[in-house]
Amino acid sequence: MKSLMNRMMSAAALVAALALVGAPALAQKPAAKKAAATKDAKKEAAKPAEAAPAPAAAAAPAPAPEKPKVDLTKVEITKDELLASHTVAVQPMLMAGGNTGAWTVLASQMASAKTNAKSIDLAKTAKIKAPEGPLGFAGNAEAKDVAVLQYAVALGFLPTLLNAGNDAAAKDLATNLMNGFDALSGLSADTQTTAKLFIALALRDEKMDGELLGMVYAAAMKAGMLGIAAGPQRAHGYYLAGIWTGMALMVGSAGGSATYADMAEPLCVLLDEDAAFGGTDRKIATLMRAIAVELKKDAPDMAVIKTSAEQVLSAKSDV
Amino acid sequence: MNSGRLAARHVLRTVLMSALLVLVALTSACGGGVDWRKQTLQVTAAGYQFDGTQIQQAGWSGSAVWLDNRTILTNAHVAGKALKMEGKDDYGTTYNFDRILSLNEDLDIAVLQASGQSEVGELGLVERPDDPKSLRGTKVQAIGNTGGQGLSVYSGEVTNVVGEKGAENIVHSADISSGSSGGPLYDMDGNLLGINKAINLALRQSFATPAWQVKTVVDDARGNGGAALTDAFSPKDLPVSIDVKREVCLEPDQKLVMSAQVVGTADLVAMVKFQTTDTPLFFGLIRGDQLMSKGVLTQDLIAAWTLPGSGVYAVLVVNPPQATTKACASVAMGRLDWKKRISSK
Repeated sequence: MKSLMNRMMSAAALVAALALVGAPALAQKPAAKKAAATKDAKKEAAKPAEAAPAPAAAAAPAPAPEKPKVDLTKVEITKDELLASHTVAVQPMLMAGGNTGAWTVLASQMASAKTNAKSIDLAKTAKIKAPEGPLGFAGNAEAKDVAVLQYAVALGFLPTLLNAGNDAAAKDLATNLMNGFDALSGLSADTQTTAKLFIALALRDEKMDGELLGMVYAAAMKAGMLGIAAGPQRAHGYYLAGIWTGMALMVGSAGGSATYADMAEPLCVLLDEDAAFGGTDRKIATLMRAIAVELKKDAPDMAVIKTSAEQVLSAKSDV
Repeated sequence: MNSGRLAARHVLRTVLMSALLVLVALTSACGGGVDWRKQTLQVTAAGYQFDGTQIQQAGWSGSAVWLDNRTILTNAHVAGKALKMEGKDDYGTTYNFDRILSLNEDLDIAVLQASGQSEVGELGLVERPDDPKSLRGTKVQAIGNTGGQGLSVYSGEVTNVVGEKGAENIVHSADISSGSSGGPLYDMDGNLLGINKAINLALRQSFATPAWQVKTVVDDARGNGGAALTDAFSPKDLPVSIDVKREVCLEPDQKLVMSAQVVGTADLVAMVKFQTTDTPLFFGLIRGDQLMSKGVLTQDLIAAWTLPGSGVYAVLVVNPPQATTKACASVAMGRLDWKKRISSK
């Protein structure tokens, strides 16, 4: 809360300062853009209205002159102009080329791949201990989304354990995840249902059915994707990013997949643009991209994938 | 001496004739009873391609193989959005295909029906071995309409069979290239081992859908009336399938990014429905650093793009910095789902 106030104050101070030196600089975006040296600075400058009502009144600037009306149908659109606008929402769409069957095929292929269990430090990666409560994901509001991310990494890691034949570890992790299911309480009902189904599959005594796992995985990812649209955007985005990262261990140990690797980019765009946690979001995007690069290689370096996944798993919110 | 020389010439001529006959047999029958020159077709298709709000007539070429004297197999990505398709065998006989009976995009297989009959017999489809990887080393011939220049024959062998049961792919070393899509991969007995569909240039590998998976699509086609190619869709009645939808209000100089991972060939669709009416919006389609399409929206939009291949694309909807008011819109993204053209008929 304090940090949020600080941010609001700094934005407010910026607005007030700009208002003093010449308010039109804020109203006319091209000038403001040139002044903003970094993307973050630009973002701060672009949202004065929501951040600083009180100081604006305190500084009592002259009302900003109205923008001249422009015939927008005659404006020459450039790529730079399109990209420069402030992004307020990102909607990823995964596996757009195929129908739902493409999800299933990809997931079942991954699930049936022979995983070299020894190539992954399962015990270390799957270790999600709960300092308080089952999973220790209860935190302050700002950390909640990161908790979703961590939970989803573990969820995505579940098939790796199953595929490696490490049923005992998989059941431990599944039990842990079921006990800490509250971490996903902010997500859409469909997302929660499919996540629960995913876990329930691991708790069954029957031999893992790759095709069934694939179908549930597909449904889980689709629910998360729709959850981004329905909101909360960030939590669902982190959920998908987490599952992707967790399953990347299995995909990497099965020899990689460019198709799977490409799924990361729309999610990274979301993390980049929705950098609510400042450096953390972009760090996660960087780690996911590093994993994606490996997954596209003929022989993915599992050390890079594992280290990156562990760093995602241990991400902390920086607010 | 002369009679001896004549005898030698006779022997030589006999040997040469025999060798010639063997060669003809090898090239025309793939070692078996199938005359590939009749059984295999180069095909040309006509339909539409999409560039935002522009719909253009387009033509493309591929390959196909007769399954029996009335139906052919080709790739879904060759036939999926065709409104007209013609085939020509290696003797120059031409055929028209007027119905699409089955379309499976996951397996990349389509089954079409000819308006007339051919003289070919029923094609043998290789059954799934207990261990498909046992096919490694099997000699194969891939036949395809390379570069749209007519049928070419490539030899190689199966190098691997990958994927889970039901989603297997045959990997082989016979060269295929653009235009070979939908062409047959024969074993040396002239049986169909697979339908060629893709290449990996970096790894120098060719991919085919195995015949035993093709059979599931064929079974689906049996007894299915399918849909006439010509009335399967019109530009005003496209088979749109929406995957995600987002409602957003944008202040001036704000944007919505719809970021899509596209797998294989796809016709991406974006729909924008205005909820406020007085502020035009800008939109763009971007792939990497390339602005592929752009425009100003003053009314509701339905746009589709025929994309060049797999990758990450982004549709941007922008309330431009020059705007003076907030703009609200519902933005949806999806694809043209060509499978609907059969299932909805």
